[in-house]
Amino acid sequence: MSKRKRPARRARQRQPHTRTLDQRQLGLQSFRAGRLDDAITTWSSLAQHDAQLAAALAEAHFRRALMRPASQDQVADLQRATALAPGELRYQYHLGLALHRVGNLPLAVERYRTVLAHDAGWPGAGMMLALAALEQDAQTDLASLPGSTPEVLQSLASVQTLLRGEMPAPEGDGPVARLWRGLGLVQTGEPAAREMLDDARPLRSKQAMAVRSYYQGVAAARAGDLDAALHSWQHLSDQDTRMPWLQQNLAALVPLYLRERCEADDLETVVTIAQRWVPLATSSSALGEALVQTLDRAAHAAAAAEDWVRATALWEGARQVVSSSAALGSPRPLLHNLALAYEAQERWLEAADTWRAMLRTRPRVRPRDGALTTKERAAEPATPLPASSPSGQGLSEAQWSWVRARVIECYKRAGVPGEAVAIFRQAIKANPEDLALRLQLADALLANEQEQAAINELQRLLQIDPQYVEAHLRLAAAHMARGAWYMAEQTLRQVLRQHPDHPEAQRQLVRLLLEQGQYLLSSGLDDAAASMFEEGQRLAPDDYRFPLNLARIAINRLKPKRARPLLERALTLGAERPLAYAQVIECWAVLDEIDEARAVLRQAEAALPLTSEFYVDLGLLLLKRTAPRPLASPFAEPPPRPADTPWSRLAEEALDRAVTLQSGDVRLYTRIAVDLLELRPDLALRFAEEAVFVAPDDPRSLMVLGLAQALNHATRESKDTLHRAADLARRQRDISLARDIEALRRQVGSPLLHLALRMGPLFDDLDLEDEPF
Amino acid sequence: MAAPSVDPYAVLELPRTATLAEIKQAYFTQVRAHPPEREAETFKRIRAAYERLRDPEQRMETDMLLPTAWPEPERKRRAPQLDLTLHREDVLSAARSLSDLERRDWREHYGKVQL
Repeated sequence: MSKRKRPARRARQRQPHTRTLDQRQLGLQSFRAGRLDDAITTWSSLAQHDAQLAAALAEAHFRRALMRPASQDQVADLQRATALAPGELRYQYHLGLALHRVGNLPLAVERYRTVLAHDAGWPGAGMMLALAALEQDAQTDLASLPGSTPEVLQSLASVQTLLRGEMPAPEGDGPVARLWRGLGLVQTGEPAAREMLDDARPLRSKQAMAVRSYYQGVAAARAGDLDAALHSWQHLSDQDTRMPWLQQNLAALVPLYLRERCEADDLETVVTIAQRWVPLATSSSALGEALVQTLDRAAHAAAAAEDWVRATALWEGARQVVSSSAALGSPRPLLHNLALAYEAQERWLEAADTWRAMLRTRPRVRPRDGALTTKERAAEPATPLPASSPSGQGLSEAQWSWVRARVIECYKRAGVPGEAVAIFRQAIKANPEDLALRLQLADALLANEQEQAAINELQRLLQIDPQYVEAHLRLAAAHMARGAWYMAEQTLRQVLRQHPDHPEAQRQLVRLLLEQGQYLLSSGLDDAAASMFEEGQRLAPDDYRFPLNLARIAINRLKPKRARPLLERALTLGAERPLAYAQVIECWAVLDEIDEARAVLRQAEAALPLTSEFYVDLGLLLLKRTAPRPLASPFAEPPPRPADTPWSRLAEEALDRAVTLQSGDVRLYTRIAVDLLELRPDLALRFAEEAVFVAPDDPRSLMVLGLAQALNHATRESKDTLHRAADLARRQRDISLARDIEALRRQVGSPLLHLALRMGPLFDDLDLEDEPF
Repeated sequence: MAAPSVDPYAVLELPRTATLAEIKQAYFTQVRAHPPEREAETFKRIRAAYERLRDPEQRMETDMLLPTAWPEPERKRRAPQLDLTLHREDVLSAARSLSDLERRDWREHYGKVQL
């Protein structure tokens, strides 16, 4: 039994020593493998009583320090190394360097002195001591310091001179000497600094080269060469340089540079520079402002040239600048422009998102802003509020409403009409008390043709705030959209009972009265229509359409004497509107008062410059009013040719005046001919012939002529003309038109030709869009 | 929606802040200069511009369909001044960078470790 115990005891006695040996070797392995942390950890607990290990541990700390950047950790490692091996001067020296790097100059000086005390010729110690002393006091007598060899003094002489504010002596032409002299010239403000610093030879350190480059920029700026200055500093900015005034100088220089380039009309450079320095905008609001102005101007120019891609990129850059600094104000104008740019490119989703972003810039409004107090109502102007705020500073309610409509429209065009609805629903969940949001939701539902849902939402809103005028107005609009005129009217009247002078409510009611009145008039319900127009006239006394419609009612009732003053009033109110004159002339045509009609026409010609479109529309209107009724059946006998009446003569005069104003315009002749085909085929023939005279090779003009000939019973001529027209169309590779013409040609001489003409689509591609008066 | 391909303010040579009276005045001035019987197309543009601006609603729509210029700041922002002086810190940073402080390779100071 004892034999068994002895080996165990020996094994136990052997273990600590073996373990220590193992740890030393383990640590050594780590050290040799470069795993200094592991080596230090392994050796740290063992080095206390082991001088050899202490030296190894010191070396490990030393090497780890050399791998570290300048920091307190580096200092700590070197302090440990010197503590473990106080005799090692290299540890002392490097500790001095580490302390110097972290700015602890007194302790650094102490270390350098320690090194020099043991070895006066230690390489570098004299230089470092002198440098540290200079950093503490530029007036230091360097020659009195230990280790100050002539080389040390020569190396630092220029530095000391510069620190004293003096000019270094010219010593050699090496890159370092030129650097010091160049800095001296910068200090004294001499132009020669540029040339002195213009040295492409490398310096030993990146920082020295950065300093040289920076002051090259300073010298260039002083000489007024902003381009060179910006080039130097731009290059530096891309590197990691330790120069805090570089950013400040860039923030000062860039606006000056941009202004200079703008004056030289160098827009491309301006835009490139502005885009480059967007990230710098946070450092200076003046720079930010300059960048935004520059980018915005360039974007406007691009938009004017319809280069929307470029305009978008520029406005995005400007937006980025504004979003980086609250001092630059609201990004609303930029968001507005960006949204327009996206719409121009049909990027509907981005447009919708941008309009939404613009809505978020709206100043917060009181939830009950529709409910005006008595005082606020009294403060409102008596005349309708201006619809827009052209100064751009702040938008009116109508404009915000317009923006909301754009959000909805753009999502619709992007194919996600429900998106606006979803967005507003989401927003309402987060802010259920925000009534403006509920209103927007109602708008989105209306745009999504969910009228009932919109009405439900508005009614919910009005339960929360029964005084919310905007909601009432939307509700009225929703009712109108569904054709529920009575409900719309009741809603508007309710608003006006509480807010009699509310301009938008009045405007909507006026519109309702006009539309509803015209509908009743056309349905023969004159009395009901009259009461609508009379009320409309009270609400909108300057709108010529109400006295005009009342005159029509008087004419219907065979009371021309009552109609006369109403027509005169309509002309007075609509004196600047060609349509007013035409409509009044129409009334005189119904009354068969040719002299009155001519007088009104003379009045229109004296008051306004009239277009050919006006005369065409007038001529057609007069012919319609005095033409025989259309045939009930295409098989019925056609009526006799209309007699030459004063009205037909006036109509023809109007049409002739139209072509005089725009002579040689084939489209005009063709349009008139097409409109007259069924009404007055004889007149249509004349204009069709004139169109073909001007454009003999136009298959469409020939087609219209052929039809006019057919309607004037010139069957053979018609077929020939249509044959020529089809042939021309085929030669011009318009096969579809050729086929249509052939189909018409087959109907010539048959009553079915009238049916074919009434089908309509034949003339769609003639592009005879009516233009307004 | 179609953005106005022609800026009606530019056609009538008006600022965006023009009043109704100024718009009317500009219209008649332009019409006298470009009468319809002589310059039909130009007159049409002038007329169209006038129609867009005389009606408050149409004018609002026009204003919203035209890009807005970034407004001038109410107060001119003071730009930082260029600093063209020589900084002591730069002299020292150059001097330091040319000394042992920036040196990285110290292999000659490595000691041997033997255990």
